[in-house]
Amino acid sequence: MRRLIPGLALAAVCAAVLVIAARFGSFVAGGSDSYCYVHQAERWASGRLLVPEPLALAAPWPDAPLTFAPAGHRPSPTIPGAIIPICASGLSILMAPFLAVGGPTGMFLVIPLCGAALVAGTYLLGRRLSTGVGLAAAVVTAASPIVLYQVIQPMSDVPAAAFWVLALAAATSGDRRGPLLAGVCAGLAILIRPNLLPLGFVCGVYLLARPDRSWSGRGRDAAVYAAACAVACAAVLAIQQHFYGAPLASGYGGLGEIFAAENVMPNASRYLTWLVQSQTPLVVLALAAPFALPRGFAGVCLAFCAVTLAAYLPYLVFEDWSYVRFLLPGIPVLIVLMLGTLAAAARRAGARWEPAALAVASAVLVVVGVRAAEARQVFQLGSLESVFARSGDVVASRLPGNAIVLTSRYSGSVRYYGGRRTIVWDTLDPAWLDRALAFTRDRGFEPYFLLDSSEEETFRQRFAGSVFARLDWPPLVEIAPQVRVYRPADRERYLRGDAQPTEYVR
Amino acid sequence: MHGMVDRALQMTVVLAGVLFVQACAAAEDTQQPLAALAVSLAQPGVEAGAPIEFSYRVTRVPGAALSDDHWVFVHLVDDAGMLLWTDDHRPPVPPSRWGAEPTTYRRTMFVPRTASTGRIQVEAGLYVPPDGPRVRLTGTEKGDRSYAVAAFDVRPASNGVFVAFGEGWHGAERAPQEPLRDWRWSAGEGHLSFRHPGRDAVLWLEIDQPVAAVGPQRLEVRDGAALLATVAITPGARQVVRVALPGGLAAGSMVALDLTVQPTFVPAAVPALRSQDARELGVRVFNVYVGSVAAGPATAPSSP
Repeated sequence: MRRLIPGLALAAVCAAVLVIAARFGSFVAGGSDSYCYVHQAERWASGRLLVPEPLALAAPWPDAPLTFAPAGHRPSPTIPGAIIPICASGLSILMAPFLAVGGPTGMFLVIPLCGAALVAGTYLLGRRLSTGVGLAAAVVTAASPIVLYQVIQPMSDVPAAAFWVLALAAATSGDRRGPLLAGVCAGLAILIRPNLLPLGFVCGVYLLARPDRSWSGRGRDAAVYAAACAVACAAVLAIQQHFYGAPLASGYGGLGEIFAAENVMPNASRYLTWLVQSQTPLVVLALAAPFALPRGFAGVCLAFCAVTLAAYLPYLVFEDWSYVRFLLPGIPVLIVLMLGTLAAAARRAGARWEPAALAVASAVLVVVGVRAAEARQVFQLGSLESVFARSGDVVASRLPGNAIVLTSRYSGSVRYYGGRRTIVWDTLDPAWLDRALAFTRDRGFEPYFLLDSSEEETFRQRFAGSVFARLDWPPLVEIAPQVRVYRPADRERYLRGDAQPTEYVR
Repeated sequence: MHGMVDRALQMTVVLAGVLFVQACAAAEDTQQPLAALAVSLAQPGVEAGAPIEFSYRVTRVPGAALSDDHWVFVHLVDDAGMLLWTDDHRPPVPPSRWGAEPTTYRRTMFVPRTASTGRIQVEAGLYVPPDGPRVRLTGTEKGDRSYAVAAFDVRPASNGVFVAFGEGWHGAERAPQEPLRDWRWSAGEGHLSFRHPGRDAVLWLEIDQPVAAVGPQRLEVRDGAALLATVAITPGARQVVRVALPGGLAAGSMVALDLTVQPTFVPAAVPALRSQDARELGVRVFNVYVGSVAAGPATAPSSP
């Protein structure tokens, strides 16, 4: 029975992650990232990756294909009129079979399942030190504010972190099948986040240099691992060639556009601050790991964390704490090192102190983590994001089948939930609003605007030369309180004195 | 999954509520009435999004103990008894000074523009906020010392005069606990535009500024160079402002107003707020409506 307890405890923690994700999850294709993954999953499931939009080819305004590319997408450089994802394809590929079997709900389940896998991977990694460290690290990881924040959204941070932590756990396992498992997990992680490829080298170098194996054993392990990774790398290169026209191109733009040396210091300051704020200052204990834990294990773990951080230091600078999500592959590893160091220190005072120290530390960290998540509105996110689905549902149920919607922030949800074509207004040439409306009518479409109230001022300024940019007639529908659907054809009728009732949707 | 958990929770809460009400109903209210509260309305009906004026008439039974901590609660419920919105307020004359002779006051309330149309029942009473005991009153009790005092009809908004928020406004917000009440912060100078109704017309604004540390502010409403109104804003007090619009304009001609607030503030720069909100804020506008002068005067300030 005693041997079953750790497994049961781990299962309970994983179940808790699943329940939290199910209860508070947004399960919404709303923002740029989430729509990118969800739409691409549909494309992968359908087998048709690049579908040209005839209207994008016929539209006469400058950069017309760009205006037909919704959130998270841009025009294909290889197939005229088609759109390509900005995001990497791994998560969408992972979602596709779930979509095929379980529909949209099944597709969204991938993230909670990966959340549970992340917790399990943390346990396996921590168990290299002791079962207690593994369990405590799993619990603390499950309660980490950034894990809670990301496990409730259809984004790739948790899946990438889960497969990287599982890869590291497998690489450090000593098991005969460890290198192959590590290679498969690392390969999936590379498919999901190709820019974290250097983490694969950390695991590979560890397998090549681990002191408890003979030279031939190390070579065999590293070769097995590298072969599994190579399959994924080849797949990434082929996908990038297909989508972006070059094997080393990505959807985010050229390296020079998104990486810069001057970003290193601002990012270092931000990420380290956010890390300490979200994981408490106790996380600094991880730096003492080489003095308290087996050197090889501590070394590979610290290198893993350092490379994760280094991969994002030259990247774009962001201001919101939630971008600490980029460090998610390293955060569970830091937690293992932190708790492992604490346990080692407690053990020096007497073996019985280790469980007590781990229990107290993990209980405190869980309380602090959940409170921090609450303070950052993590548990309100599902409700806040629901406006995307509600807006799309309104488009589906209230607008005619020939509606074409000029929108920006909601371009993904209008397409996904509303099933209507979109024109992204903030990529439309400012001089072309009136002519774009006329063009769509000529083609048999009825144009609508769908705007968030916070976008209206920018919309007015961008199209200041058009009377329609005044938005001075009643909206057809208001999705309370912040989203409005306007029918431009109503303006003339309203100014003539006709009644124009607004439907309010809560 | 969401739905199942929520439905189970809702059913549990409803069941608990029913049992609670049954238990309460079983106990007879033996307290003598301490006061009377009557409400009359300026109009029998109003369109969604429009202001409506309530006239309150209160009397106190001689010798009855009413403290100045008592507020008037006003609940707007539909025919099924579902609470739609509230207008709880501190009465302008403290309850301890009420007498056998009626004390009257008027108060303007906005019907939320997202409110359902149909018959609305007004239930009111006295209580000590936030959740203190309620006072027994004379009148028709609807349960839990809540009294039916009036009713009116809400019509669909005609949108005859649609007021557009132009430049100088932040996005719409609302608190989860008050789904029918939303607001927009001005960014210091906010522009409103609308089609003039072509008769003597009035602009109603429901505004406030909740941060005490900001101190008093001044709001100016201008039509071009012409100053139409100056409003003093006290932190924490929500008020309904009535601004007479320039006459002599043809129906359908566009009116553009500037609402300028001084001083503005940035929440992130107010230490007491512990906020990371870096927006420049002026005042919150909950409701804006353009109607005829005949709709009646508004009282100011109209909030706790």
